Amino acid sequence: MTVKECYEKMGADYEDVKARMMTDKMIYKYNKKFLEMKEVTLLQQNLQKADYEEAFRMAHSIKGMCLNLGYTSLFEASSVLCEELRDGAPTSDPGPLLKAVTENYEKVIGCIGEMDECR
Amino acid sequence: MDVNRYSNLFKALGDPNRLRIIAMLQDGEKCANDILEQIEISQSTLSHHLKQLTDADLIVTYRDGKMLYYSINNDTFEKCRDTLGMLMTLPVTQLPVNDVKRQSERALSLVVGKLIKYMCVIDIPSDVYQVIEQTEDGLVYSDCMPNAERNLTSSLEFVLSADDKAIGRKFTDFSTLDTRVKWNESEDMLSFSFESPSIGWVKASFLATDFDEEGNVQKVIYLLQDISKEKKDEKVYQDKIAHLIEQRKHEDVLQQEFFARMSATLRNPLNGITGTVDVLRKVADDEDKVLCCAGKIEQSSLNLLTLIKDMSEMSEMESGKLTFVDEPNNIWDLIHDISTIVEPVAEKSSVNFEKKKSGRIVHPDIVCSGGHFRYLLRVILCNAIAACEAGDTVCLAFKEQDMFGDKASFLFVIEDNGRGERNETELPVCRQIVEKMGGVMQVENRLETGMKVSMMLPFEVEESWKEHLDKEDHTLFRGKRVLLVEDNELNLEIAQFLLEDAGAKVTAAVDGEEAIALYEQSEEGEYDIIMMDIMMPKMDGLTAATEIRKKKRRDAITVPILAMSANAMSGDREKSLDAGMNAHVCKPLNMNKLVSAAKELMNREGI
Repeated sequence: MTVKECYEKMGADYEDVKARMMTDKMIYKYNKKFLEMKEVTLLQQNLQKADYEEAFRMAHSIKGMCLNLGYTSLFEASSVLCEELRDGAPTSDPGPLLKAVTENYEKVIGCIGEMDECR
Repeated sequence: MDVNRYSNLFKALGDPNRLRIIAMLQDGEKCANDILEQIEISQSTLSHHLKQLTDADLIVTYRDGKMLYYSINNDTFEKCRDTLGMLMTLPVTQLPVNDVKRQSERALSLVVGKLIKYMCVIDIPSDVYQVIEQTEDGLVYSDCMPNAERNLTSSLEFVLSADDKAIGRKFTDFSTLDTRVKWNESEDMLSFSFESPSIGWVKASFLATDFDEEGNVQKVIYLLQDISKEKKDEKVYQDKIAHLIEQRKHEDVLQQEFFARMSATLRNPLNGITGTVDVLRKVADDEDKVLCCAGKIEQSSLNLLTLIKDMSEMSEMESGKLTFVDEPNNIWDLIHDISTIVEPVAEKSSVNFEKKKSGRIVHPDIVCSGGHFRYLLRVILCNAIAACEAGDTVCLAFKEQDMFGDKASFLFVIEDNGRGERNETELPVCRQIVEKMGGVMQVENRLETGMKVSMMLPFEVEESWKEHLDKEDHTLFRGKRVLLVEDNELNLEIAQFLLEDAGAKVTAAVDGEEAIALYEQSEEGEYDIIMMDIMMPKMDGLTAATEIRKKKRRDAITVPILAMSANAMSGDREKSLDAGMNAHVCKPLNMNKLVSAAKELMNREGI
């Protein structure tokens, strides 16, 4: 799959990211880099041990990466969770919010896996 | 000899009794009683008449004991006679007609086109002269008259000013005429030009026409020409020359001032370059520092180039050769260029120079003749500074107004509170430029409280704005040292890639603490800008910015700090600004965003 096809499949904004990074090569490079990032795993772990402060920081970080890479739906899911955690302990069960983040994340990394190497 | 005196003199004579008294005194001096015996008037009337005659210098008195004696003043009477001689013509024998004709024709041919007030031919040995008049019927010759020399002398003296009388007498001295004519071989005529109080500029001339066997002058033509017009033309010409000299002097002064200012201004970037070269030698092994020095040298060189361009523009402008070249320009760059020139001038005279931008500059990329624009603002600003004393303030305020048709309209207001003398000679040129640019200029001279110059200038908006911006990106960040602070590895890499792609030299830090450590290790002014994420572990961006601002270094307050955040809410922006950051950009980062934020910052900070 080309970079563009991948982005369409994951519901991400290809035009936006292309305008910023100029070449598919750079988009490919940073997408591969995203696979190495541990933020989503850390988010899950921190929520499990109720370290909401660190969980919030992870959610915020994910948000930032999504903006840079144009992952629109993952950005939206992480934003909601991020706001829920902004003031410390969540007022409602963060489980469904985390689930949405996890699902979107799985979809994104699945698509990146199918991305043709671009040099 | 003046007209009023003679008219008074003749008035004094214009009385029968006074004439009788003078006739009586012809026999010799007399006292009042002697006169009263021979004339039937009262003593008081006699006293009145004697006073009139004495006042007119016609009679003089001398005292012998108690007696006062009156006698005729021969000098005055002689002058009277001369004056009368000039006024009257007495019939004498005529000169041979052939001579007169021949001579007058020659005279006429010599003075063609000249206005002749008086002309006569003189026979020197006999001292006889004949006046020639030009009438509609041709030349009319008067009868021959005697006493040519005396009459000529007194008539000339009559119209001369007091200072010229002595020269006049020498000029009409017939006894020296031979010698003067012989000495004066190169010229056709002996001439004497003078300005008469009564008849204006006149030239008196002798033209020798006949000589005897020994070469002595026998006959001359005497002319009086009106040369008022020539003198007037000459005066106009001289005034013109004097004016040109004045103007030239003024231009020289302006030029000297300019070069004095310029050489002072040129020294700054040059010192910067030589100073950096010294540093370069010491740090030759450290690649980072070498690159940093190269960046500084490049910046100073660019400043120098601008200055030199400006100098040539100035001289072209002065010689009226600077042609309007509409080209893409950036309003921030233009203002920055002008500041580089104006700031040292203000600093030198301890005048505060402020720049104020109000509102948002929506169209920073405009099309205009940059040279003219720079000249315009520089001249007005420098003139304002010149009128200021130490401690006064010159302010350049500017803002973008509503669109003027399809053009971006900018308002520039230069205001000062100087009370010194103003050189306004360049203002008309400025007005011409403003009008040529399609703008309006208003000058408000408030004498006691300073001056305000307002200019509204419409600029075409650059069509290829985006394209141009891409080009600009590289120049803006090229060689700039950026301290980039971002905790997320991926986000850091992306930001670093974007900045380095634009030519920046990036130093990366992953949290606030590391950023502060790097900042402390850096030399003053090493970082051109700090770009910082807000949310970071160990120390967040807000705290780090506050800490940097507190450091005791010269660049602690001035280094621009740009906040980068994924939070787009306005509250976050305010928090950043409160922490001492200068601007706040939202992720995702892109070059246009970074460039326009950084551009605004760097201009504001005067980098």
